[in-house]
Amino acid sequence: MRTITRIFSMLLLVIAVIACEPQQAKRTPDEVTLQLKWLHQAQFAGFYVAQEKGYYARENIKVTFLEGGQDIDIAQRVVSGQADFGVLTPEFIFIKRSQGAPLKAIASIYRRSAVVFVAMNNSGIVRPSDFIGKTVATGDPGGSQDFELQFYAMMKRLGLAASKVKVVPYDPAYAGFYNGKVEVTPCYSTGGLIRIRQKGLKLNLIWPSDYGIHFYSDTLTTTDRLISEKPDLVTRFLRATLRGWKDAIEDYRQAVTVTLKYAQIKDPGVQTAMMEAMLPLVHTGEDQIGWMKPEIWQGMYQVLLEQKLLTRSFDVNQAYSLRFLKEIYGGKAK
Amino acid sequence: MKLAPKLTILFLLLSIVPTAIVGYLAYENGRRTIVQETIDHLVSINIFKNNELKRWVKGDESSIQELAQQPLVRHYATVLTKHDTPDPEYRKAKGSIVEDHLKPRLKYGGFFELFLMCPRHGLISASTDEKQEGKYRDTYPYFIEGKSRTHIQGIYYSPVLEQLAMTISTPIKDKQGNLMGVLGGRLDLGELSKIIALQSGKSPTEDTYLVNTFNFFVTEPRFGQGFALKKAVRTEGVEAGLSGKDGVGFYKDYRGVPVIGAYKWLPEFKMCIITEIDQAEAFAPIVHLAWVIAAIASAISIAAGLFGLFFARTIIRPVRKLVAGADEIGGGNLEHRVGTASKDEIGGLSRTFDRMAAALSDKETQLREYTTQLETSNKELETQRFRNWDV
Repeated sequence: MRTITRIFSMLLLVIAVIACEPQQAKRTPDEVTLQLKWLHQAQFAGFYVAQEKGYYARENIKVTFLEGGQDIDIAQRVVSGQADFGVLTPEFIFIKRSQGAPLKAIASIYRRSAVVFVAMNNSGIVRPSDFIGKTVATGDPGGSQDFELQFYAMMKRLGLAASKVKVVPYDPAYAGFYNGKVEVTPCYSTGGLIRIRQKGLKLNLIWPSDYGIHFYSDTLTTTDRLISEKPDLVTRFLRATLRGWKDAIEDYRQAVTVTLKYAQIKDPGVQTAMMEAMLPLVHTGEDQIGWMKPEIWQGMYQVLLEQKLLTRSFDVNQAYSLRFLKEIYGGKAK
Repeated sequence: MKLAPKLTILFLLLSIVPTAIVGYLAYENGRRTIVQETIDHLVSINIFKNNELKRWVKGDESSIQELAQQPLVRHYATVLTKHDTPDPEYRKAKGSIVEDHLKPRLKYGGFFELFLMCPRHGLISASTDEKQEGKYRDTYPYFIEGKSRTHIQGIYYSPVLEQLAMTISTPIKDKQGNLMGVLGGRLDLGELSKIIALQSGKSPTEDTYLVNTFNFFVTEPRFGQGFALKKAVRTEGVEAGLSGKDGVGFYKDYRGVPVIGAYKWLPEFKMCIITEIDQAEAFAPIVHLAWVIAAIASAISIAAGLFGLFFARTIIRPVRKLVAGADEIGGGNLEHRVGTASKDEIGGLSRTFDRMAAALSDKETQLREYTTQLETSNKELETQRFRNWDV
């Protein structure tokens, strides 16, 4: 009799497990909105790969991508809750945070800044000290923040007087640079530099990172609120995202194919060139993808503070969190 | 079944079974030998190339260490560390170290740039490539590690140079042992490519490449372009090599083609070296061997079959003659003779048969004679009886 009861209860258990299975599978996915920094392009390839390979779905997340644009306040969208996560530059995180916005970086996708200053290779301009007395299109206030920021930080670091440089507004078409009126222009190695080189010009590249200015670029950001309310969702979203980026970096040609499904410019040549340029920025050959170093955050904060871009000072460690990266990578940077 | 097919099958079996066994053993032995030879070859390539890489780096390492210990180099490094840029002493020291020490060393080959970094911020104070002067290297592993010991920063992509780079660095110390600078040397990677690309023979698929701890190709594989530090590889061989193992395996390579691969972890470079050959190529002699063995076995079997057939015929021909003779004799022709001359058992049987036929024939002749005599005697008796009646 006891054996029969046991068998019966075992059967009931099996039925219960089977009955639970489809319910779990049908569990409503968490809806997440990601605000991109700019229009769909290879710059965000890792996110597309994570989506197309089902990494988000595997974490039971349904992601909606929102494009950025000229008039879109990306940080505000994240702060207001229109987007759960955003791809922002660290300077925006700092500036907004100093204004009271509870933004927090959880992983830095571009661990090297794509900002580079270019001059013609016959100009004799090979280092920042050569900028003195020259025309540099580094951007007017309120323009491309990172160009201006890194330019002044670099000059200050080297003890060079920025006032002796003739600063003109940044022109994304580089007309002044082509006709010789502008001797130095900043650009992104993943965008403008490719376009300038397509003209067949030979250039001298001056990287701010060579002069002690280490800035992260595209950084995955969320709010303090989401971190405290749904830390598990943050971990799952970041885990899927990093997997997507890892795949994108490990096989960038495939990532370009995936990107072309989303990209506004459906030109494989353009997207491939962008992808090739960003590979060394995402995969630096040192740490895991997305990994962040406190000293870099400290350095960036210091630059912004010196340039009086922050309305108030605050604890720099509040602007980023290594908690999720450590959880995903088991605490290992490499 | 008749004797002829029986004998033919018997001969075929007798030839096929041992030939198949011997053939299989020969094939197995041959296969093992060929596979072992291939594996030994791949492993030896890895060992050879690893030694070549070590020799290459060791030479440059010794060269830069020797340079860092030269009294004048130490003196100039001290001046560059203790004086400011505009100082005439600084300019003089910079000019001297570049022109008299660093540039002449480039002529020996091995390096394409030699440079001196200040100990505080890693500022490049002097370089054979003037464009590099004034840059800070404080976050670079070759500067951080190079402050205390000779260090090799493995192959990495330098966004500044926009190419792959490998840098050896070593500390420069004054007489009291204080750090006065870090001497760095960028290695000419042409030599590395030459070592890795070196082919051991005319094999069309032999492929050697290096893979770093991030699973990225470090050198270009034979069947890929633009893979170096741009594409990751996660084959069984690479994973085993990166986990610190030395060994061989049968697996699919980065193209998805089945290969025999030898992997070896190179701790000095924090990379693994992989040498692979397509299984199709490696197994080609084995397939050839199998065909040769199969051809020999078939030839032996056919020969055995034909021989069996011929042999069966030599046996069957006198038997058939004997049967025909027996039929003839059985049919009443006792004068018929099989007449086989052979000395074997069949010949003996035939002769016995002939003797039996001859004996039968004699008996019949005798019987006829007796019958004739009997008939004659009967007739004579009849004649005498009638005569007696007449009397």
